[in-house]
Amino acid sequence: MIAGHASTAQALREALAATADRARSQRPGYARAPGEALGALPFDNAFVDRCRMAFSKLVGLDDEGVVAISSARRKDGRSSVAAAVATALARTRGGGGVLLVDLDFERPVQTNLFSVAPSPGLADFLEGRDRLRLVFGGPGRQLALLPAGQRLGDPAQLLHQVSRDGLLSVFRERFQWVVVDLPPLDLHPEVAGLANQANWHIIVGWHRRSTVDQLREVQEHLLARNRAGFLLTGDTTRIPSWIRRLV
Amino acid sequence: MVYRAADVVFQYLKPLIALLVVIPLAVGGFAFAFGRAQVVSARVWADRPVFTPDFTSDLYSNTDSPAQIESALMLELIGTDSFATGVEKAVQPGFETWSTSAQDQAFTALRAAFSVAPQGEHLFVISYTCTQPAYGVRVLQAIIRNYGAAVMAIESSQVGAAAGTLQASLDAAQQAMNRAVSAVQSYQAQQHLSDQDARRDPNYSTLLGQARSQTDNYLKLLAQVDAAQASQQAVISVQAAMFHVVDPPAVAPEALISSRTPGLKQAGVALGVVAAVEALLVYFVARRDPTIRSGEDIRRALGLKPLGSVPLLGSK
Repeated sequence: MIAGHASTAQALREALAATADRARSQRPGYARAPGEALGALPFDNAFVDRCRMAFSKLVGLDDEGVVAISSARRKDGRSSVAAAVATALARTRGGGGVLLVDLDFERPVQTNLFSVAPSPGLADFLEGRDRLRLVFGGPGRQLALLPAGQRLGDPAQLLHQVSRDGLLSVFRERFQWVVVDLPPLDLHPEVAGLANQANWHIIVGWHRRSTVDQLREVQEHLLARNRAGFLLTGDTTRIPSWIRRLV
Repeated sequence: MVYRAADVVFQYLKPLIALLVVIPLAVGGFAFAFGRAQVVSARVWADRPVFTPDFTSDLYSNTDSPAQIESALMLELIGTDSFATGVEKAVQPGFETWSTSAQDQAFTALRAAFSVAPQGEHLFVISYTCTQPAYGVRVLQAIIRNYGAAVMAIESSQVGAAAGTLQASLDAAQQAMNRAVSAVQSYQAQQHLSDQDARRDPNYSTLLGQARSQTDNYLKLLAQVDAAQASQQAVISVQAAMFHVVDPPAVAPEALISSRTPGLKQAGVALGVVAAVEALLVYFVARRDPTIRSGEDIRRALGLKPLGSVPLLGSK
């Protein structure tokens, strides 16, 4: 754990302030990697636009807060959707900054998507091994990525710590939008607590692979179901558009 | 449900179409290869039933054309076991030794494969459907041969019967005539009448008139008997001369694909069956498949707001 601080939340608060401040970031423990920036997503703009349109159906124009992206199982396109939503927010609503937090400590992929080094990240920070590292990029450098990092301990314990100490609220203090890439809900019960700390929830399901029962389990963890929506990923249907209109 | 079914159809579109094409083609091809029956047909000139002596009754309506009369007569003959036996004997060696049931089956098969249809006023077409054209040709040749003989026998017997009846009438008329003439001669002898007196005797005149009437009747019948005897000879000579086959039995030219093409019906049935089975499969899969095929599935099942869909992209 982080030594010398009253609480993890306070330590995180200071670290966030330091990473946002160029002068303070020169101090030991908060140094930025020189020249590090987010790379371009390996998606075309159509994918990002579709995610933005989906997000717009859930969130009003004047809203801001924490958006959790979750799925019932892995490989359902959750991280891609989270990255695309964060990018879209940074383009259109990111005046106050957008933070993308990768909380999938077991198999983090956001660093791969944005072509940055996988660590240090949140796990390294929470386990007291390294500084907090945010990687900025996107339009006007409004998008920040907090990588999951390399964990040594139990990922469930890290998730529990994030949930218990209300770290999402701390992120929210410095960023207008916080997009959280959650691990699959059926793997860790702690994820349910995190999901319920978010203002909105996007549940992702893969076309012809995710089942209704799997998604029902995800939904049962949510307290505010009226602030949740479902996004179908991997849509490979070949139904012609005119037939879609008919049926 | 409709969207789910449509999604299932387009997911498996290629195999569904392949099955829809391959199975009917295979079934139709199999039936075509192993069940291809050919039609052997012949065209015959129809004139003979027109030759009916005045003294025989015509079995058919005067309004029927010769072709209609001939074709109806041929169908009647094929329906008789005696005629069918004659045909089968000609084409099946040892047919007489067959069992009764086997012969009946052969008759049934012959009648089922045979057809006749008038073609215009004086032509009619006889056809036989079989898988071996050579056999069909032999069957039609036998039918034509036996038909000619049977019709001539029928008409000869008709004329013969009429001639026999006339001959009996002629004999009776001759006896009546002889009796009337004898009565006239006896009356003249008994009354000792000269020829001049006899002309003035009223009884003699009456008897003479009766004798003349009987004589006229005899002569009329005699003329008819002569005509009947001439007809008996004419039936054979004239009919044999007029009976001829316009087109001898041969395999009828037929389009490769027609309504008679074997396999078409089987292919159609197979197409219908495959389509029905595929529709059932699609319905079953769409109904029982637990996976998500649209955001509407989630809205109906869980009440979650569907936000749309994104294509196949992403690393997770």
